[in-house]
This record gives sequence, C-alpha cells and structure tokens, in this order.
Amino acid sequence: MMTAVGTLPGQTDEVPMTVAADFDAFYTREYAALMRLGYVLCGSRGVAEELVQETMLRAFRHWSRIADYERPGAWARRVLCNLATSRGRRLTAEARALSRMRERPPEPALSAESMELWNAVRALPARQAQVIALAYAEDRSVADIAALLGIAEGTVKAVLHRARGNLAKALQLDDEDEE
Amino acid sequence: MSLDDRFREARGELDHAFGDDSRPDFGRVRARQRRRRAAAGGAGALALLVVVAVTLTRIGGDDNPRVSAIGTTTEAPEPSTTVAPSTTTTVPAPATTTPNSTTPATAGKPPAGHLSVSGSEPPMAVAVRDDGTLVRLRTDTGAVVAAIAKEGDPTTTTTSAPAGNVITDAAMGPDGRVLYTDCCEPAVGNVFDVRTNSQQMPLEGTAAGSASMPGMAPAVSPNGKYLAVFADTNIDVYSLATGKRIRTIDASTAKGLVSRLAMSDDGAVALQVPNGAASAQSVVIVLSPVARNMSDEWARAGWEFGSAAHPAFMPDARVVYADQSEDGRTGQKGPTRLHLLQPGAATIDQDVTYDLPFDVADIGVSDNGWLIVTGTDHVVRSFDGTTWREIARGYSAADW
Repeated sequence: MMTAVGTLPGQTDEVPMTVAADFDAFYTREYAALMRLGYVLCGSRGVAEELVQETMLRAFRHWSRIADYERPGAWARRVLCNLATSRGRRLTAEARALSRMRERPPEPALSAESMELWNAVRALPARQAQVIALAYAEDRSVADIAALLGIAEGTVKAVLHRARGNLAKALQLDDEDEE
Repeated sequence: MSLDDRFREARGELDHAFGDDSRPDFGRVRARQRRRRAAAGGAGALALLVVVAVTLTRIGGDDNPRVSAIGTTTEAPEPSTTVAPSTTTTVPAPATTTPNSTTPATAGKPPAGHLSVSGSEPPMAVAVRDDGTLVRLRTDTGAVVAAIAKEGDPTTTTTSAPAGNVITDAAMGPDGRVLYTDCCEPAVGNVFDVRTNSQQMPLEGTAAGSASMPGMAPAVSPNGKYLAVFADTNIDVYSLATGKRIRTIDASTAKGLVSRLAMSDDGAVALQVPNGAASAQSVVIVLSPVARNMSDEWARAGWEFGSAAHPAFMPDARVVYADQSEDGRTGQKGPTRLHLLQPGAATIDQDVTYDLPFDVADIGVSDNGWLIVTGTDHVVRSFDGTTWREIARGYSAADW
C-alpha cells in the first residue's frame, strides 16, 4: 500500500518519497543516453524529446513495478525503440509540417560526416538501425543488445553484420568485419 | 577511414550534443502531458457536440440518407491492415489537429487536415471495370447505368480491341464529359473524349485523322476548364472549352515517368513521379500555376521511407494524396493514409485519415469535394472526410 509522503515538482499522483526519489535518480541518470538513442533512431531532437519523455512518463506510471527490475534502463530502451518504430515516423512528419509554420527547435550541431553516418543508419531497416544504435551510440555488447531487444545473441550478430555491410556500402567505407 | 573510426567520431559528437544539461525538469514534462490531455479531452467533447448537431440536422432534413455521421474520436485506433472495410466506416479525426480543427465546418474556411466537402454525394461516377469496360455507375446502388467504352480485357491474354489496348484511366468533368486513356500502343497511350463517340479529342497538336494524340494520366480540373496530360517528357495543359493547348511544362528533369497527374482550377499541376531513390517509391510534386518546368515547384510530398501517390486537387486548391509508409523491411509496404497538402507560401501537410485497411489505387474528387477512392482490393468507395461508403466492387479506377 502506497503512502503519499512527498511528491516531485508538479506531481500530483500519490507516490512515496522513496519511490519518487528512486525514479528521480533513474530519470537523471538515463535521460541524456535515451536522448542520444532517440536522436539516432529518429534524426530530430524534437521527436527524440517526445519519445524519451513518453518513455519516462510510462516508466513513472509503472515505476512501482519497473523499479524492481534488475535493469530498468533496459526496459526504457526497449520501450523507446518500439516507440521510435511505431510513432517516430508520424512524429517526424508532423515535425516537418510544423517546421513550415513555426520555428523548429535547434538540431544538435553535428559534423557533416556524423550526420551522413546517422542518416545512413536511419535508412537501414528498423531492426538493423536499432542494433546499430545500441551498439555504437551506447557501446552495448551483443549480449546486452540481445537481452534488451529480446532476441537471440546469434540474431544480433547476424543483424549487426548485415547492417555494417549495408552501411559500409552506402558510405563507401571499409568494414573491418569483412576482412 | 573505416566504419569503426566513423562511429567513434560520431559517438563523441553525440555525447557532446546531448549532455546532461539537456534534461528538462520532470515536473514540467508531466505538466505538459496534463495540458495535452486536457486539450485532447476538450477537443473530443467539442467534436462530439458537432457530430450530435450534424446528426440532428440530418435527421431533421436529410438530404443524403445513405451517409450518416456516426461519430468521431480523437483517440488513434490501432493500425489494421487485415480487416475488410465495412459498408459504412467512420474514420476518426486526426488526434493531432490544430486548434482550428474543432471549428464546425460551417464556420468558414475548413480546418487544415479535413476535407472541404459541401452538399451531397455525386449521384454518378465513371469507373474502369476489371474486364476493361469504362462504365457509368449510380453511386447509391453501384449499378451500371451504361457501358461507354470498351477495349481489350486486361484479364485475358488475347484482347478484342483492334490495337490490343486496354483502358487504363478515366477522368470526368463536372458537366459529365468523360476522358480516358488506354495503353499501350503506341508507346504511351491515347486520350479519348466519350462525348465524341470515343474518337480522340480534337486537341491542338493532334493531326486530323492521326492514330493518336499521345497522352497519359488525364486530369480534369474540378471546374472542368482544364485538362492536363503527360506526353513524352512534357505535361500539356489544354483548355477543354477550346481544345487549345495553353501551356507545356517540361518534365524531362523529373526522376522518371509521370504516372499520375492532377489539375487545379487555378492552373497548378500536381504530379506523381518516382522519388529517385527506390523504384517502388514515389513523390507528389505540386507545380505553380505558371510553371514551365520542374523548377517551379510549390510543394512536395513524400519521404525517404514511404511513397506519396495518387494526387487530386480539392476544389479549394489543396491536394489530397495517399501516403504509404514502409514497415521497416526494405520493399515491404506499410499502411496507407490519406493526406492533405496545402501548397503555397505556408505549405501544410496533414493526415486526413488514420491507417486505412486497404491500399489506394486511384483517387478522384468531385466539384463539391467528395472523394471517390478505388482500392487495390478493387473496391470503389466514397469518402466525405468522416465516413467511408462502399459503392461497388470489381473496378480498377473511378472518378466523378
């Protein structure tokens, strides 16, 4: 049974202070990393913010359960990847449409080479893009990615191999994996 | 530089760009969500009131008893690509509408994202039957009133038409004038005017008695004044009153053949062409009313992971088209939605529907804004922005 002994700023739900404090720490720890992942998957800071904040709100709503997970961050990443696939496209289209009517939030100042690379990642099939984003924007291991996406390690390796090949071809680069 | 080197550099930039200082206060995030929910609830309540008012109006003075507005909702349904459309289906309004979207359509300019339909559904349509016959249909019953042209049967390997051609597309003006094209000899097809007993149209540039006036994808403006056809590498715009060619647009720089055309009342032209990146994907480009080549572009719809196709002008000069996404696997198509594109200085592109349970093969617009949509399931349906109604089955294209 929950007892309301304190709330986060702007919060009205009854959540125990200790639980809220746990969530606050989780939010502080994970937000930037999830933004990086969201940006790599969607290519827009505004869309990434929408998706990460939706992920965090879901985490908050179910925090009493998620807090017990060994790795709540993995749960958040899986939700974010799913949201990026199901809603990223729509949000990106909306962001484009709205950008014609109002000022667009500033995009991160990345070099042309980085933009080209992440654009090529986004052009990959969704699963390949997710695996690449987790492997290279987050430095996750194959085992980590497999657990996070709920697929076999062998599948991750195969997807990663195909994705790297596609990227090397698209960017006309050497892929050490092929050597 | 190797791929791994590129990733190392890009990762460093990413870390720098998205540091911990970019994190908003979570209380603000929650407050923003509450404001959105409140706005969505208010919009939903107002939409419900509008629907009740419309329904009561129809009960009191029903000018179109076949079409009934059942209701709208701002909640997005789960995408469905397997459920066959029922005879009458209500499509909910987009969830992300602008504040104007709750304004009743009678209050002036229609809100962006919604069709500007007035009056009742047109009683007649023209459609190309699966056996290649061009017919006039009653839209209330789907009954064929008359077969108005017949060439080859595309479902058979041998055709009965002298040239072996089949009718591929049709356009109907508000005065009932019907134009159609056939395929594929000579190279691109012919344009015929049914009013002149299936003889080719007496358009400028057509040699008397010649075998054909090459043209594809005929499009008549909603007011019936203009005809646009694609021929060779040009788009020719004709006055239907005089038969004179009034403009030629050089489309040779388009990335492939123009497969669909639409013509507006003010002379703007919308065309569907390949997007240049993937052969199965297309974009819709809207050219200005004075365009002479592809550089006079007003607006463009389409994106790297999907197709924009089947453009048609609404009477208010907006362009309705089908937007089809990929589902994440190369070459696999995802659900289709209808979009509205408002070309001009402040181009706006918005959803008209959520994911449709069928793919779109053809879109026609009446002079009062009703859509007639033929699906790849060979079903012809009408749509007024809210309600889908099945007209007939067994057709590949239709217009009214």
